[in-house]
Amino acid sequence: MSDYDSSSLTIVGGRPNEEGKEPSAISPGLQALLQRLAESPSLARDLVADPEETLAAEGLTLTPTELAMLHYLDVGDLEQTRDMTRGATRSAMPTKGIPSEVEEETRRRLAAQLELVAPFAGDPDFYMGERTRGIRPMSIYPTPFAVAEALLRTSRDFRTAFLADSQQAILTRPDLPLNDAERQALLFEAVRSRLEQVARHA
Amino acid sequence: MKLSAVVWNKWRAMHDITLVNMNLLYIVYADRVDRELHVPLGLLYLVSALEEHGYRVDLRDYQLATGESPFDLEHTLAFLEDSAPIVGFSCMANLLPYTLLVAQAFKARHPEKTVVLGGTGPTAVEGDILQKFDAVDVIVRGEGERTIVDLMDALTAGRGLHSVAGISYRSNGSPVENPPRPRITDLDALPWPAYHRLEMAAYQGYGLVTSRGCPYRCTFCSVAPIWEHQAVLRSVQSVVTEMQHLFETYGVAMFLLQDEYFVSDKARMLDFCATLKSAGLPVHWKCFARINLVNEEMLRAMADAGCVHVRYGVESGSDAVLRQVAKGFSAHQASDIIALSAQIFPEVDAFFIWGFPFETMADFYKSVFQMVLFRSWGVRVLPCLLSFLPQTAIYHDVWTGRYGGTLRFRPGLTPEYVATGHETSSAGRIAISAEQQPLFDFIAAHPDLFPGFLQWEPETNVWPKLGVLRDLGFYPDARSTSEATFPIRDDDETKDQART
Repeated sequence: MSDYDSSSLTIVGGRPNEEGKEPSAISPGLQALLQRLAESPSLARDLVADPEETLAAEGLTLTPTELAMLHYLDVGDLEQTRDMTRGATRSAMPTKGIPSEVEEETRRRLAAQLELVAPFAGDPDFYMGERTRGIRPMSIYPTPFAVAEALLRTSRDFRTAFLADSQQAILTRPDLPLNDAERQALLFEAVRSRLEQVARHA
Repeated sequence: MKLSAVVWNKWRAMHDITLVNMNLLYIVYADRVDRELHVPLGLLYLVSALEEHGYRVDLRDYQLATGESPFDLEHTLAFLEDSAPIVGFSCMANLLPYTLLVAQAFKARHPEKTVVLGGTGPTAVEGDILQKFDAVDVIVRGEGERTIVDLMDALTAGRGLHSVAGISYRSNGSPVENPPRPRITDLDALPWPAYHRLEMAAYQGYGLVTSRGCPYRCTFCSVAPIWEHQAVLRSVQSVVTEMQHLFETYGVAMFLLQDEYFVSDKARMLDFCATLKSAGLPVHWKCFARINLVNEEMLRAMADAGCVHVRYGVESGSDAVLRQVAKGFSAHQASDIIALSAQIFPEVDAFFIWGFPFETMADFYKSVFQMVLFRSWGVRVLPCLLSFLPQTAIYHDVWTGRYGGTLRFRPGLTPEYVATGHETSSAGRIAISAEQQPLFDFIAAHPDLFPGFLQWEPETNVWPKLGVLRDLGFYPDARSTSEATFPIRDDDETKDQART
């Protein structure tokens, strides 16, 4: 057996690996080293030639495991740190992050969800409908859940009527310039959100 | 195989076949359960094919009925109550053991029913399953749309199964493997998945496939061999039209293009992006991509067409390992594309595999350096312990002794790919409760059927590498956390299943 105690070691890498927490960050020493490698073309060669002396000269401290890793790397490995710098200089790079129009759409959807769900918030059972086993109910039940069923996958006429009668307030709001598909999406999101909420309470 | 006329007539009025999805994304923590419900695309294709031929399908998705004890056999049997005379289970490798346990219990209770197994889980071990488990009557291999219809035609007509291509079955007590069914070459001609049969609002993930199969020969991967190393592509217009349908009918606004070969070539990708954009759908999408098949022009077009999340199989930071596994690109190509992607897309995932039999510590450290580097770029790094899936070339190589050494079963060291949902994870440790122990005993008793759960030389090849990953923050260090409050399984040598 190795020195490792099998009963205290396990793996959970490709899936969430700790209760609600992000993996540990990179150590400050390693982070600083990566930064300097990206900025200094000659540092990689110095590190490969004499890691300890180069780190000392740079005023950097690594953990024993990080230092061990360094001993196995060649100049080519270390020069990968500059790929991001090279990439950043490419012209016309789109801004990273969620585009503002997407954020706006999300905001609108949230606002509409609230409006949709609010009238039923006090009555979770109203939303539950038929318990199923993944089987689509074969008939329409007199609950909002079934209404959602109808809206989502049955009669287009029913969908239109529901939207017209029940959601008039939302559909006519001037600050929600939505097309039909977006309105259906709003309803879908609202029902799903509400069902998840109910499921959590259950 | 002939169904009892009495049984058949009794159920004819209701359903002809029950199809059961046994694929779950289910992770148990000490204080909660994480579930992610994805539309069971494979089964939905089968439902459409069967309905097109007039069969009435009773579709059951176990994702929606897991309850508090999803892996309690009685609970599962209750879920299967009132099923049709033919019951088909679909599973992947991780839930193959549990699905077989369910099939055994189900058949014991309903010996008159025909049990069919499908999905990637039983692929490559069909003969062993039929040899060892009388509960399984038929196994569908490969694409199921046409096979399941032929099979139903034969079963309901009381014909023998010898003429049904693409199945394995038992005849006179012995497994019979029928010839394979030719691949479907016109995917556009298939009816869309039967989305109308699901409560779509109950799901969180909406997958879509634009292709089937992969022509690459990565030695660790089961996808390409399952699809005979051939990729078949849908037309761009077909894919976009399906996305439009899903958006307009169900409000799906985020898609996961889950096929491995979505980024098959530049022209098709640019055409897809242009077509989707011109459709004017306010949707976003995630996809898998391949390092050697993308370039800056394509990545920009993807982002412009609504792609917000790209996932890459980087696998290793060592060129020697990448060559050994026939990945088809270099470590430096990977870092170049990952750097570029990290600046274009809000989310980028990089999957790594560690624990190859030929992965030296030098190779491993090169991978770890890339993991650290990519993480510093804001990329989500997902290291995964190698799983020796039975369809893969690397499993064949280990089986034939190419690398020496042994495969052993360490229940507390489950490769991510085959996490079963029976484990409890707490502070980075996996515990197996006494009530879930029978599943792991079952796996230990059948290493030939479940090699994906085994590890190659865990003491020298796995534990030291795991220690490094822990030290660098890729796995929580159990030794720095308080002791778990539930029993940890004793991982003794007697449970090892040695294979050369």
